[in-house]
Amino acid sequence: MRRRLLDMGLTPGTVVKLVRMAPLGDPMQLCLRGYKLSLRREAASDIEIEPLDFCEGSCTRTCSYRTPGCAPDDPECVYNKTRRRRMWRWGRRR
Amino acid sequence: MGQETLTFALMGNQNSGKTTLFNRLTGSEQQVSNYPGVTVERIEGKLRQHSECTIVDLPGIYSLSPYSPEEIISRNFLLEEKPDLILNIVDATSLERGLYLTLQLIELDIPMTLALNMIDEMPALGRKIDVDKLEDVLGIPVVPISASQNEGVSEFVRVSLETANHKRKPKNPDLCSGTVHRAIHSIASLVEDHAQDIRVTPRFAATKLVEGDELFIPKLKLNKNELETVDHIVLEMERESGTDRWAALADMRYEFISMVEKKVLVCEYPNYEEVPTFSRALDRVLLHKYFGIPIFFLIMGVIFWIAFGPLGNFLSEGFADLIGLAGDAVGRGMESLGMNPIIQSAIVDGLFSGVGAVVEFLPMILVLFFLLSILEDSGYMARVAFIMDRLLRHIGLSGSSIVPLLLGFGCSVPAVMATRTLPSKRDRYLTTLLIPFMSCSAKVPVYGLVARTLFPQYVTLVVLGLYILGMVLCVVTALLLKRTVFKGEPSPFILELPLYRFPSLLSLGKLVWRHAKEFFHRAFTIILLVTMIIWFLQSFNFQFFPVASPDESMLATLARTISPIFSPLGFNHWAVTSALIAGFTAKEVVISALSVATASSYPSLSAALTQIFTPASGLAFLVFILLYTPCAAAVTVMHRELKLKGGFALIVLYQTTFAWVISLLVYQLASLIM
Repeated sequence: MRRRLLDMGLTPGTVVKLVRMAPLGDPMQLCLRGYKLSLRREAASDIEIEPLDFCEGSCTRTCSYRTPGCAPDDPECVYNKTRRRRMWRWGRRR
Repeated sequence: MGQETLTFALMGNQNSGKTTLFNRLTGSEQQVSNYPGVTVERIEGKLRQHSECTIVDLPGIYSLSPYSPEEIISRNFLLEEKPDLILNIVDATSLERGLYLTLQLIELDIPMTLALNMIDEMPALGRKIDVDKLEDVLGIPVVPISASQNEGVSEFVRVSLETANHKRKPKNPDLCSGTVHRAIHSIASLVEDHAQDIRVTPRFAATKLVEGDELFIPKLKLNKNELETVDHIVLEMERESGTDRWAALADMRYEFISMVEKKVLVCEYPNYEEVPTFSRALDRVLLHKYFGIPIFFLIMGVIFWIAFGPLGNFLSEGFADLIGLAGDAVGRGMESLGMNPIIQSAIVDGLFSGVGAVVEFLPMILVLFFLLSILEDSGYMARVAFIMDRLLRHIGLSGSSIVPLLLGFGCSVPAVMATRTLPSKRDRYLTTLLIPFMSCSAKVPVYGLVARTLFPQYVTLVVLGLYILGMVLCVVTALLLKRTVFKGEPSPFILELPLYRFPSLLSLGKLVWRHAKEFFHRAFTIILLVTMIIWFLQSFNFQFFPVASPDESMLATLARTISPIFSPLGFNHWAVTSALIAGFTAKEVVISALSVATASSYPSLSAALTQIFTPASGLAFLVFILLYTPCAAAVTVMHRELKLKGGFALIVLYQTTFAWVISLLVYQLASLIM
């Protein structure tokens, strides 16, 4: 399971965005490395995450929000123009 | 062009379009859809205009460390059969994940070309890929293609043939850097001889050793000393990189890929989520927190309503009239020619009313298949797995099981095959055992005919009711099995959600055409054959004289020995019993057999049905049809997939007993009410 997740691109430090939860609250839909993955809460709960300051990441990590070099209150930053959403950085497993 | 034979292996992630490309390359028509993991077996074909080239389509994989049986097929093929060329397909819309496999394939040091598929979808996502740069970094030829639009495919073929004929290996198989890379190198030099013995590159062997691949390592035949040294190097590496070996390896590869991606990917929108795509808008509705599940049930309801409601009925009745007219014409023609009445009876009663009674339901079945394939091709199936996962977990299944179950509405055989995509053995077994509860399309003629004759006011209601009863019993059985035989947790659910795509009318058309052909093929082979046997058995007695009344025929005599079993269910007529037995060969046969067996004693099949059945016993009969043993083809496939000793007999007996009990309940209840 763990190796499968690693193969799917969930390596330590990957920027991940929670897109939505399924209608009954489980599983969840994530966006990472430019594609959408769905995963159960149970599996996700074994993974350490770290909430991300919203201007990190880069354009090519296609789920992230940065306009390079912007400040958290920069009105030009794409993120600041949109609704604030949850973004996490994937950490190592507990 | 060399005249020697070449083998090309198609490798890529699930749902990256391998089979679509395979069909383009070979001109075959393998099943494709927009759901990860449709191909579960290796399929071979000859390259068009280059018959010396065999192309092997393999199940999609994400990496060369396999987890499920179909992934093992892919990997073993590469390691053991040594293709001359790997055709690696990468979905350009999820470049990073695709390249992860590419890197591992490059390690094998087999000539390789890369097709960047779905390139036509990139502009809509506001992304562009610099192909020349990508080629440069990876050291293998890269061709942008769109398999579904047939763009770039011939160029890809040209480049691939050239690469294979010149045996051009990847230029720099030694990608990546860092601690892990150093460890791999020291192990590679250590195991060089062993790797060459089994004809893999030392680099690949080293990677597998670092990964601790249980399937591969024993093949290397390392001695204890060497294994210890390897272990030591790996431990050292783990200490140095501060993480375990798998994470370190995956990290190394993805690190490299991020670097590549930064070089080659040009984004128009800095923010992926800002890209105005159709997929996202659709997801917002179809995966809605409150409406997602109701919408799914609504969609299924509409599908069945279209197939069995007004439209399906209208088409089927029109078709039936045509067959009836043809039958009458042939009958009159033969009479005017003064043919032997026995031959006349065989053709008119056997062929036209027997097989014809089945064929008239073809439109309904095709409509059902057509609608189900739209669901599959559009990418909605993966979403269904996503929204239903939680519900299915209550009955011990995972979301991925919904796909085989829904396919079961079409035909159990492909549905059972589809269970191979499920990751755990437990899930595969449980799902396979539940598939018979999904009414397959072969039962449609039986439902349609019986319901139309006995409950003319409530046809749609009765048919839908049967489908729902099947599903309810499926849930009950699943709960029972979960509590008893299949304890334990459903397997983890990791599923990629593909982008929505408009199903192409051409491929849908082809699919419907294929189902129609298959249906006719069945109708004129197995169904016709069994119908003829039934006709023969009901026309003659044991002394092989034509009988005056079929009541004295061989068939009636034989069937009467079994009929009493069905007395408690309300239908002990010998014709029904023989139809049920004949139905084991194929479910449609129930109708043709009934029609043949009653042809000479009743004016029409519907008259026969109203005479034989009361509404209550008719209902019990339908329920019995719904639940009793799957047809021979389905049981064979189930048996093959379950690999259970005596599984064949077990499935038949279990399903039939179950059907008997439930029908009994239905009959007794219905008799009380009606």
